[in-house]
Amino acid sequence: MRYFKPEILARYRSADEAVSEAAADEWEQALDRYNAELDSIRPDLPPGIRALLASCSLHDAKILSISEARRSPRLSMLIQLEGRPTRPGDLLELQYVLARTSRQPGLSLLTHGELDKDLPDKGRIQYDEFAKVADDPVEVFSHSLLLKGGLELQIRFMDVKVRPLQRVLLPSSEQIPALA
Amino acid sequence: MNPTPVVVVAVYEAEPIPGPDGTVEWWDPPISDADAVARLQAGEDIVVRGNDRRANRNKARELMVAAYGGFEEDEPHQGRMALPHFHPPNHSPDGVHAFFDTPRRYAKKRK
Repeated sequence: MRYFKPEILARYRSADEAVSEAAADEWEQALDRYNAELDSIRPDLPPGIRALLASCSLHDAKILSISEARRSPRLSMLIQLEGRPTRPGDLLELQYVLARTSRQPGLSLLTHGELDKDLPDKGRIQYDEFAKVADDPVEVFSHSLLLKGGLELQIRFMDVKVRPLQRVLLPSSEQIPALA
Repeated sequence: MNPTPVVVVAVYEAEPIPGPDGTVEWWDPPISDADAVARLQAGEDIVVRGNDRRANRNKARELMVAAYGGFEEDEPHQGRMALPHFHPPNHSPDGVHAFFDTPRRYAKKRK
């Protein structure tokens, strides 16, 4: 994450109010810089991302699954937006065309601090950032997602399709009791 | 000698507007702490408004703790109207917020 850094968030959550307020100011500056960068690259972003940015925020959404194809450079991420206690959040599928090279994988996982393996709510997206990372010979973008617990996903892609989904049936869910 | 500014804090029923901006709407009248806690426990949102960020934050946290015994704190996301807020521990139940205003970010009054 270049803007929404876990260390700023950690200081923001400090019990020391002076530390917290200084971090809050730092966070505001980061928001301004990120939004300025996003505005500058928005025209170049794939239409799916432009539509996503215009319709919702991924803050507090949950990643339900990530699937990476073996041979083709494709990655699919299933996300449930934040809902309400009385209404589950909308479901989206993001299908990336990865920009994989011998030196740069399409998907990288980074850790910030020590991960808590028993942390509930691990797939929760805290903050995410889009960036343009290359122009030539093709446009390459990145989507970085900071998850609760300190895991960061970095996805390098050339294109992405975003599809709303009607429902997702998981074998363990009550929707398919015979398979539970 | 300058008089000490009076810190004013008030709690309102609130609702986030769907979309990328993160706008939170509030409406009159202000509610009591007991009503705010009940509202949070019912799975609804509140916003703490006032002229002092520290006081707003402290009140929002206090109400979430009273409602759920703990809290998780989030900074605003990149939406231009997004507010800092508290969640119940482990976001359970999902989608419950105690928002608070800051000098730069504030909820919008519902018309």
